[in-house]
Amino acid sequence: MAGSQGRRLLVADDDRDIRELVAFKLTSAGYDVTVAEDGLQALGNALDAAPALAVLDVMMPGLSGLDVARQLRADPRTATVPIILLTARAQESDVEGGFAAGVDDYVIKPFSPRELLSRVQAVLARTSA
Amino acid sequence: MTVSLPGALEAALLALAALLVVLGVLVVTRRAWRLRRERSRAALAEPLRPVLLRLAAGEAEEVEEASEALWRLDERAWAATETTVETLLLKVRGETHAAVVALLERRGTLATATRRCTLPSGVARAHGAEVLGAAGRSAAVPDLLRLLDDAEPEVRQVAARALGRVGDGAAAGPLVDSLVGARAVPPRIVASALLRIGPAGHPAVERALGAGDPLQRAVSAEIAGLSGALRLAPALVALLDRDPEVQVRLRAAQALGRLGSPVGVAALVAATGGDHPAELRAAAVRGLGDLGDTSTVARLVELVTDPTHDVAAGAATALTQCGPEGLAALAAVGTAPHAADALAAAALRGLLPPPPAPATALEGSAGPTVVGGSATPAPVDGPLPWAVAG
Repeated sequence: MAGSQGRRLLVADDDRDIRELVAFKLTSAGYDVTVAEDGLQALGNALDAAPALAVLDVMMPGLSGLDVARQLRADPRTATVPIILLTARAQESDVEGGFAAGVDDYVIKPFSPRELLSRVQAVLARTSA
Repeated sequence: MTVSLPGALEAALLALAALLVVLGVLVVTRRAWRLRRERSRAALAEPLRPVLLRLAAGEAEEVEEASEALWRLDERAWAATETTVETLLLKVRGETHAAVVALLERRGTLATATRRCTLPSGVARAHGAEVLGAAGRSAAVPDLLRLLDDAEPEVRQVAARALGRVGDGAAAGPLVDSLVGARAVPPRIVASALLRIGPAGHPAVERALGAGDPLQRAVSAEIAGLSGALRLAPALVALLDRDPEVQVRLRAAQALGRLGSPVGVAALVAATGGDHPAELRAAAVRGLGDLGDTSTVARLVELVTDPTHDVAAGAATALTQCGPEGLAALAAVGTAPHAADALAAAALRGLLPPPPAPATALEGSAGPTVVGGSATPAPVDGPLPWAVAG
């Protein structure tokens, strides 16, 4: 798919089904996807090599998606990495907390893989413009 | 021949030990058998995961092919993967969800779930309700409504959640009814289900605002506010004014604030009066903050010095939600402890303009916009609102 070739994305979710669904959708669209099973692994992966974008689940063991987002923003190597939150809680405070932590967009679970892909493409287009 | 008492005791102990050994062997064998079955199922299911991923996240053609492949699986392979397909129902939505439901329908899983709803085992009934709810089929509502009155509380709770997922307005009335009685469902679960149903359930919520039981009125008031049922604002005003139960009035005050309708302003201001219970007054003040109506600024300023802590602190916070006019009024009473705290919080949230640079930046400026709009403007060289907290 145009524009997606070779761009490395990070997907972090402790739910195997969701992790693999998101990774499958993004890989099918031409992205190079790295997966993480928890927040700590996600942070380590991102700091080792900054991804073009990170999709983070909010509720993960160890470090939550919001914690990871804050730490990525605080590190100069990853401060500008676009972040999309996957959240099971459609509550305003969760979303507000996400934007306060510097995330670029959020997707509510249950989610549509097609919609998630559109959001990823839109955020990448917006942030690389 | 007679057996002596110690001999009988010994025989009984031996028999008991033998029984325990047999039971132990049975438990271990059963566990081993289960483990083996689970491993065997996992081994069968693992190669099918790519097919499941294509079903749930593939392009139209891939979805069709995956669905066909899963439809053609033999019973053993399908049994190994069926639970994973069922759990996908709760993780995806839109066309992906529709594809998974269509497969489960075709494989007979939904028909089995319907049958399970009538089985003697509570676990089976709950599983049936869970699958039907996750599939979101309105045709399942009668079965789920029956389970809302199940003898087992866990089954009732699963049925209530399932009805919320289906989202059919016809379930809203029975859900409100399920709040009371010997087979009641916890309010949190009912409220969550009603919220999922949304506007289709508003007629039932409206009726419940006049129900005889205070819990039904309180939950309905909360749902009206959370789901943005603006049409119900006048009914909430009536509850806030006249309901005999404080908890119901409190929920009505919260709901009116959340709705953001000017219809609630007068009733909320009236509920801040000193003759009302403190918790209701505090809720009314928070409601006024949520509304952010500038016509309430004068009353909120009075309340900033109220002797009741929650009322005074809530009023100061509410003023920060009333725009520049509220912030200016709060700055004018900035020496009150709650005002200082609220101003500091507002500054942290970026509601106040940044402090100007000490010397040159103040030249030609009348000071911060907020203070400039105040009834009692702060002098340029006097204490600035963001400095009040010290």
